[in-house]
Amino acid sequence: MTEPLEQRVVTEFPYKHSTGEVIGRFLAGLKDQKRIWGQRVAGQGVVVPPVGYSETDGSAGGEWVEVKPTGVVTAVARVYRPIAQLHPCAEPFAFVLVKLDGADTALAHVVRDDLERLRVGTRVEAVWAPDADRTGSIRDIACFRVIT
Amino acid sequence: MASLRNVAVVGFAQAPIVARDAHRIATEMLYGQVRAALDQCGVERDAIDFQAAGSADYLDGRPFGFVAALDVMGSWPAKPDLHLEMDASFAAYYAWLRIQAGDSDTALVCGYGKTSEGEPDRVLNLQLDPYYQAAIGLDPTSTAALQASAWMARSGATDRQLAALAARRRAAGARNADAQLREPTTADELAKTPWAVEPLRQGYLPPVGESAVCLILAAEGKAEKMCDRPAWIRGVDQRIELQTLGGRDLSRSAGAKLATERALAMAGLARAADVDVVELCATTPAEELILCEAMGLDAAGSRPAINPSGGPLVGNPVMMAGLIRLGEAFRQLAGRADGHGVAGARRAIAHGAQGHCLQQNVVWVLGDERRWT
Repeated sequence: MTEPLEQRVVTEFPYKHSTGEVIGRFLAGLKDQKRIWGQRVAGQGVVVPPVGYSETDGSAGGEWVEVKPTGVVTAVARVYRPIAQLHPCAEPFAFVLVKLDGADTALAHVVRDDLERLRVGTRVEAVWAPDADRTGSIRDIACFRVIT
Repeated sequence: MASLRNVAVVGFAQAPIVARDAHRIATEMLYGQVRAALDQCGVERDAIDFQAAGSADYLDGRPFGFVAALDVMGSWPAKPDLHLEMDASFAAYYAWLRIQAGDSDTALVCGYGKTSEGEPDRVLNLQLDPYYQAAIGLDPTSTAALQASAWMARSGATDRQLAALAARRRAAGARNADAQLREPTTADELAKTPWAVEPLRQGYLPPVGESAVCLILAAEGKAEKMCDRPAWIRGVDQRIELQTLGGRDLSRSAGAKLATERALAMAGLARAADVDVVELCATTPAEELILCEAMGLDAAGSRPAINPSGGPLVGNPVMMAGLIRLGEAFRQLAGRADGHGVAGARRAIAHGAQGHCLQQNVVWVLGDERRWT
């Protein structure tokens, strides 16, 4: 068979997503206050990050509760070869799930330093992006770092 | 349990899983499987009442690309059709439901897609919500590693145990002509491979692979004419879980557990361990161990035989790895598993999964005898 012909195609469609009443309020807390807010919902306790309703029983989200920027790692995945155009940094880092102090669910985020000390059970704290860099994104928390 | 229609898997064709089929487009890969499955059943496509497929257009880089596959499956004379952006095992579930509705007796179910053509890590990142999870760059290997870490922390499972399980699946894959990884290797060798994403090593994970598959379902009355040894569906159940990874206990698969319980109850079986063969749609050794716990199976036991095909660890064509499990269960019960056949297999479980960290599960219980009289 002859050498197969290939066609290179890039399909690109930019979007401007609404952030909504609940996610938007959570993200505004990161951007404007450097504070992390969760929502109390039936069946799940304090959900961080909140989605506005209970994922377990469908009831509406209740009061907003501030949680601490510190917490405990419940899952850790160390990435030694970051994927360009996807991962948040070019150097080795770890994805983590962090149950923040005062929350009952875990937040997915990254840890960039002290990877060798990171375990399920390690305590970490949020590192904020500089004021000028916070845009109303989950990445307004630049990363988490291991508490020494 | 109310009496349902007896429905069987009567045909299954699969393209061998390869890293990249450079010579054929996805529909060309699929066309051969549709023809082969119809040939197995001795029918033309006018004998098929309903068709369903699972694929992901963004993996193929052809948004709305699923319509191209309809012609290959049979869009004329005008057909009732269903497409899911899910593993095709879930499409088979809806095809089974449609046959239960009574207006269709036969269904063609396809899974296809050329994962090698794009950047699957970036595409599958988009399965997650855009605000909290996709935005930090999570990819399926990393979420699988998060799940593995949660499992290892709770169970005490070691890197060595993951290596040993992966080596067993590689040994099985060497006997499966459709597997992508067909070189047996040892746990020692696998445990020396670099981390893909710690705690998962490259040697524990399947490489990117692509295939195309077609499976045919038929109701009692037609099934016996289309296949000498139909694999009767005795029970099936499908369950979804939360999308937020941090809202789940990732060390467990509550959805697989419930789906298994419900499917077994429909089948009239007490335990998953009462079958002869189990095919699990686990793409990491940790997922497989989590599923075994959820289903009450001994991952190291010899009966039931778990993933005698090697399972997704030796070939993981995205969007069809689950349907291949159902096809493998059929091959075992119909005596068509050739080099990896389990002697005397009369009952089987086939599991399918979709999404990050086993978010969605479907469990099939099959047997060589009809369930309802």
